[in-house]
Formats: sequence, structure tokens, C-alpha cells
Amino acid sequence: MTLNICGNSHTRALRAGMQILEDSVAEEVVVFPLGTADNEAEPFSTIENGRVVLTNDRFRTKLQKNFGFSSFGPADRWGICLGTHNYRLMRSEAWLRAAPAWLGIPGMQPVPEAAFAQMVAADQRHIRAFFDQLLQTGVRPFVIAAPWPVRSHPIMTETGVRPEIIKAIDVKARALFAAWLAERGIDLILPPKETADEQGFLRPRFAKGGDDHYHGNPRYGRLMMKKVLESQRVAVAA
Amino acid sequence: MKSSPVLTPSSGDISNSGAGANPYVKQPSRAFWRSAVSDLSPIEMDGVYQPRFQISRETRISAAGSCFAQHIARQFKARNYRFTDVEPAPPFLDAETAEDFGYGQYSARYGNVYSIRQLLQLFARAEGAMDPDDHVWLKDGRAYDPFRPTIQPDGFASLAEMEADRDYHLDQVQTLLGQTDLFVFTFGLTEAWVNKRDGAVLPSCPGTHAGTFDPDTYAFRNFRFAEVLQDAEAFIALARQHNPDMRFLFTVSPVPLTATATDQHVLAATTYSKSVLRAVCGELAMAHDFVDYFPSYELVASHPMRGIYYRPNMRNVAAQGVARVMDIFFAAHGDTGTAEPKQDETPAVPTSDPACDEEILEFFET
Repeated sequence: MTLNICGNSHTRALRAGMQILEDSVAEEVVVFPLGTADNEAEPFSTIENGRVVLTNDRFRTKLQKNFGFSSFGPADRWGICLGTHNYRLMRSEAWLRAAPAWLGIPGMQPVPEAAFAQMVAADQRHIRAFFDQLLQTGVRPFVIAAPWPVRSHPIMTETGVRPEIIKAIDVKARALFAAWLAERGIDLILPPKETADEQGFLRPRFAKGGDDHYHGNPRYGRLMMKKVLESQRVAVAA
Repeated sequence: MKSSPVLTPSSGDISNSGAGANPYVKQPSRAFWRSAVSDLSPIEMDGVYQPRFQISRETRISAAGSCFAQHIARQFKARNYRFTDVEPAPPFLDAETAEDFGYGQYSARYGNVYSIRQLLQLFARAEGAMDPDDHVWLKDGRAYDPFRPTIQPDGFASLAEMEADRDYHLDQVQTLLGQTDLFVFTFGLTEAWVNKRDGAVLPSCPGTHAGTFDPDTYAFRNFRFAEVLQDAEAFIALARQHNPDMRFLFTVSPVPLTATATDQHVLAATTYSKSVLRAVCGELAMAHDFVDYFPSYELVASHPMRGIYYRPNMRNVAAQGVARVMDIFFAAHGDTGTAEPKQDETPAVPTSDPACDEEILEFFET
């Protein structure tokens, strides 16, 4: 059965990685992005006639064009790259005066864990709704995480938010999402450890670079796709 | 017994009647019960409040008090007054969740402050002059701040988190008075629970929201007029150390007690409590020209209002009542606009009753 992988813009690196791996993979694996993460900030899916359809125009068009599907059905095999793009949470000057409480940074407004969990839930509400819809309609997806945060992101290099705050936000948001997925029996595949530096940021050699402060490059995509395929027991030739 | 007809201005011939001039002759119609109350429906009553001083949109306003004070704080913000909030909600917390976590209710995240003693104590703690014996209440592995037991739904994740939050909170509170031109305080209760060892006043009885009630540690107090007045004077003196020009707007919450810990009927206990608080406000306003009293209590709870602004439980104030009271307040200050919430703020007109810690006491009725 074809393995379909879709998601936000981080899927581009997965697609590039898959193109490198393509000749060594026996099964059919189709990887395409649906659109940028901005589209996750509003409701983008619903259930119609027992199947999940995408209500976001861009997402719907891409799904149809690249996968040939107008909806997600239980007979198909889906990997979804959504839910760990935590930049919406990080990208605020408020983190100049506030910090996650568990960091214990003196002089900064501590954001309690419970309040942070609410923020994450609010940020991911449409993504979580989408996954719940998939489960309700019998689709058993797995989730592919976005790369670790990029250390050169302007929120740190220009705005001046402390890197440990950005990292803490990302780690906790991923953990909360992982727990939410685990409660539903959905696997979350994290980026390979070797792609992270000592502080947990994406190593420059795996980052897209240039003006892009979000995405992994094809080298990252290749490693991540290998991990994805292994998790799905798709054989990859050495 | 008949009332004398000679005092009312509507009997326009007083001065010619031979009854003789007296000070009441010059009184406006709002000074007379018949013209100000009897002849009007409650919603027509006018001139109930005449500000002692004007509040402008440049005035830096801070607020604290019992749960009714949340309405006042919201309205100042919604009408774009310069409301001081030294502890705003963290980023990305939606308005409803922020309110659940006690953000944006007042000028800092101190929750409801029911007594002026509690308010004094808050600033004493912020300035390091008081370190209460009650440090933390633990329950089901969660940590509760004894002085803000409901500020964090289900408590803090750990003692360390609670301490970090409290330290930051008190640091912010310490800056509040220096950023205030007008301090608004709504007196709520005279009844309180105190720690016998250090006299610290708690916002709720230990063993209700959190904590454990131990009669050897905690005692009931029903503050008396002289104590409340003394505390209020002490607060005024403290506040004016930070800003010598600070002014004060005092109100009394029209919300009755949920339960009394005295041996009185709850109605009698409520009347005692509100009477003392109202009398203190009157005394303060008479003693200081920088103190104003806004009669929110009278506008809701007095008998001419016939209870129309209460919900059927005769305790909670209906949204219409809150709106009416606040319209009267702002109209008296020349602001006849309506509350328009900023998009990223808590709704100006609350969609639910304000968080009232003491309502949990209903749960304990047997």
C-alpha cells in the first residue's frame, strides 16, 4: 500500500530527502506539502460523508493535485507533518519579559506549565481537531515532527529572546503534543538526534540556510525520511 | 406619622408660605426622598453619584477588591482608560483562559482582595515587611499559594513553580503604587480567617479551596469599624508615600455573604458587614478630599432598587445591573460611551459572573 506523507512546509525537506532515497525504496512513497503552517491557524478540515475533507482551499487543492485524493479515507496510509511547528508560540517579543516557569529565570514573568499547556492547546486546536477527525473516520495516521528550531531565527538573533527560552518552549510544546497523540495511540516521529546540536537546535549543516530560519535541507530530509520509513517498516536499501 | 410637607422643593411655595427659610429649601431635588426616589422608578433615579473629582483617560488607575471589583476594572479597560496592569497575561493565552488563570482581573494577579487588611498585607509582603507563616498549601501533588489559592486552576505544578510565580507577582505588586494616580478599591467582607501565629489574613478559609483547617492554627475574625478604618487609613498613608497625589475611589460590593462564620443569620451578618464597610467609606470620604465614594452598593442593594439587578438567588448581580451601575459611574464622569473591548483583551462586559472565591462555601452547606 502506498505510503502518503503530507503536511506543512516542513514536508518540502522530506520530499527532497525522499527523492534522494527513492531508488533504494521498494514501496511507493508519495510526499508532498499541502501549504505553509499559516494555514493551520484556522480550521482547515471537517468530516463529510464519513471521510475527512480539507476545507482550506490551498490544502484541498494540493491534496487533490498531488495525491489524487479529495479526502482522507481509512484504507489509505498517511504520515502527517503537522503540529510541531512551534514558531507561532515562540515568535513574540513578550518572551523578552516572560519565560517558562520551569526555567526559573529571575526577573522574568514565569509562565506556569498549566498556562503554557493551554497556550499550546490553543495554538494546535485546529491540528488536533484534524487528527481527531481522522481517528473518528477510521484513519490511523502517524505524525512526523518538524525539525528542531533554527538557532539563527530572528526572534533570537534580532529580537534578542534568550535561546534557552525558545528551546524550552519547543521542547515542552513537543512533549505536550506527543502526550496528546499518545493518548490517542498516534505515533510521533521526532527528528534524528544527530540533527541537533548541544543546545538542541538544528545543526547548521541540516538547516536550509540563507534567509530561511525554519526549514531543514535535503540532507535533513533524507535522514528524517529514513527514520520515517524505518518506523513504518518500509525497507530501505543500504 | 405624616411627613412634613414643608421640606420638599416641589411644594414650590415654601418661601412664601410663612414656614420660614431653612437649609433644606436650597437643597436640590435629589436630596429629597419623594422627588429622588418615591416618584421615580428605580431605573430613572438620577444624580445618585456626583464625583468629587474627575477621572480622565490620562489618570493612571489601579484596582483591587472583592469580586465585584472585577467589573469595575474591566470597564476601565474596555473604555480605554489608562488602567495599570503590572502583571498582564503571558503571550498567546486567550482571554478566557487568561481570566481562568487570574490575569487581567485587576492591576496584578492578586485575585480577589476582600478586606482592606488583606490589601495592606499584600503590599507589606511585596515590600518584604511581612513573611507569612503560611508558605504553601500542598494538595494532590500540586502547590497552592495560600494568599491566592484560586489564582492557578488546580494549583501550580510544583513548589518551585509556585515560589517563582509568587516572587515575580510580589515584585510586580511592589511597583504598582508608583504607577498609580487613582486607586480603586471595592470593600467586600468584614469576615476573614487569620493565622493565629502571625495574624496573616487569608482570602479564603483553609480547607475550602486548598489547605487544611486546623483550629489551633487558624481563627475567625469579624473586623470591626475601628479596625477597618485604621487599616484603610494605613493603606492610604502607604499609598501616598509612593505617590503623594494619589486619590482613592472606594466602593462597597453589593454581593451578600455566601456564608457567615458567625452565629448570626447570614442576612444579619451581611448587613453588619456591609454597614461597617459603608460607614468606613463615608468616614474616609468625609476625612479626606482625595477620597471619593461611588455608591455601587446603594445602586444595587438598597431597598428602592427592589432587588431588580440581582439574579434570582438575590446574591449575584445580573449583567444588566452591572452595566447600569457602571453607566452611572462613567456618565457622572462625562463618559457616555459604551465599553468596547480591544480585540486582544478580555471582554468588557463579562460573559460570566466574576470569579468569587467564597462561593465555594455553598458546597459545604449540609
